[in-house]
Amino acid sequence: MKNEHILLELKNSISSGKWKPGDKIPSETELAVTFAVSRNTMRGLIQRLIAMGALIVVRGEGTFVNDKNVYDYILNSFIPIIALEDNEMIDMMEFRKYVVIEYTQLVALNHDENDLANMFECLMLMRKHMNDLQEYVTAYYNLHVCIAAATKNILIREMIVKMKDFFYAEASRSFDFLNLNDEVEGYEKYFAAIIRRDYIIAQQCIRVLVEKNIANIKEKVNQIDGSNFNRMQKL
Amino acid sequence: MIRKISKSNISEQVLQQIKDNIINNVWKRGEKIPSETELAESFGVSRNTVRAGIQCLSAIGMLKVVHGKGSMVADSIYDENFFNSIPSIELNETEWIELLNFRAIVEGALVKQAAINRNESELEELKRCAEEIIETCKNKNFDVCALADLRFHTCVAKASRNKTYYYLFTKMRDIWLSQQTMSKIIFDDYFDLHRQIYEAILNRDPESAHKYTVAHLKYRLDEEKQRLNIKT
Repeated sequence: MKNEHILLELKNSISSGKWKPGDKIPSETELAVTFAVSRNTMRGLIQRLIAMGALIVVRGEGTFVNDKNVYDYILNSFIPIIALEDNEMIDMMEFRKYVVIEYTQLVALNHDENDLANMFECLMLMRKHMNDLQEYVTAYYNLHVCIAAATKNILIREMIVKMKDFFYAEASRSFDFLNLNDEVEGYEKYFAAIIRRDYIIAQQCIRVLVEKNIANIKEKVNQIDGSNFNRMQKL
Repeated sequence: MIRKISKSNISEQVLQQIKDNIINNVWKRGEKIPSETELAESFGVSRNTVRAGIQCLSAIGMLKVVHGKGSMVADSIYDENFFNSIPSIELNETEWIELLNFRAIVEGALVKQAAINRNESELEELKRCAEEIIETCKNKNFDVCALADLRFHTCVAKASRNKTYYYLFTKMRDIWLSQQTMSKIIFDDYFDLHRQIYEAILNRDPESAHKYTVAHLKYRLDEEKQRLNIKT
C-alpha cells in the first residue's frame, strides 16, 4: 500500500469514528505491522496527522485523537503562519474587507447589550491610546473580535481571533500613514449605526475604513517595489 | 537565534523555535535551513527530535524536504501543500449548522467578486457544472451530483480572484464533500439555484449572485435540519 493510501486509511479511522476524540490510537509498532510498513514510515505518517492537528502526543502515554474545539481545528492552518509579503497581506485584507462588510449585517441585527458594552470599551481604549501604537493596535484588534462575536457565529469569531498576528502585521505596515483620529471617528460612526441596527450605514463605514488601510499598504508597496504585484496574477 | 532546550516538552520546543525562525524571517522563503545535524547540535537534542519537528512542518507545508539536499522554507504560502487539506472529521449537528452559516457569510461575500472578475473559461465551467447538477439529480445520481456541486463552488472561489478565499474553500473541501448529504429528497428549486447563480455571474450581477448563493446555502441548512429531525 502506498503511503498516501495509508494516510487516508488513518484519516478514515478518525472520520468514521472508529477512533473517537480523546481515544488512544494503537502504537506505532502495531500500526506498522497492520499496514506492513517500517516503523519509520509509520512514524512519518503519524507525524503528519499530528501536524494537521488530528492527533496529539501526550508524553509517556501515547498518541491520542485530538478532542480540542472542532472550529479551532478547521481554521487552524487556514491562517498562514509565515512572514507575509505585502501582496499576500493585501489579498488577505481584501478577503477580510468582503467578509466584514457581509457580516456587518448580522452584527447590526444580532448584537446584544453585552456586545455593545464590549465594543464601546475598545473604542474608548483606541481613543485613549492614540499616542501609543502598541496599545492602540491591541484595542483595535479587540474591537474586531467583539464585532465578530456579535454576529453570533462562532466560526466568524474564531477566524478573527486567529488572525491576531495578521492584525498586528497589518497595523505595523499601514498605521504610520494613518490619521488615527479619523480612524477612531470612523469606528465611532460604525458603532452608532450598529446601535441603531442600521446595517446599510454600518456597511458603508466599515468599507471606507478597511479600504483606507488597504490603500495605505498599496501606496507603501508602490513606493518600494512596483513589480511585486505581478506574482499575484498567477492563480 | 537558537536557544538551548530545557528538558520538559523537548519536541514541542524544538518545533516552536524552528517555526519562530521561519515566521520572523530569520530563515527566508525558499532558503535552506541548517542541517539536522547542525540543528541537533545547536539545540542540544537528538537528531531524531529535530527530524520529527521538520517532518511536522513539512506536513503543513512550511518546509519542503528535498531528498539529499536538506530542508527549505516554503516558497509561497499558496503552495499546494501549505494549506494541507485537513482530515475530514465528524461534526455534530450544531457544528455543522454553524459551519453552513459561516459558509453562507463568506461565500455570499465572495460570490459578488466572482460576478465581477470571472473570465470566459470559468463561465464555461460554471455552466457545465450547473447542467451536470440538474442532469445527475434527475437521474438520482447523487454522488456525481455532489462532485459537480463541489466543482461549481470551487470555480466560484477561483473566479473571485481572492487567493485567501480560494485556499480557505479548497482546504475545507474534504468537509464539504464528506458532509454533502444531498439527501434523497429532491427540491426542484435547489437545482435551479445553481443555474440562477451562474446566470447572475454571467450577467455581472453581484447582488443576484449573492441572493441565490445565500438561498442555496439556506436550502442546505433547511435540508440538514430536516434530516436531523427525521433522525431524532
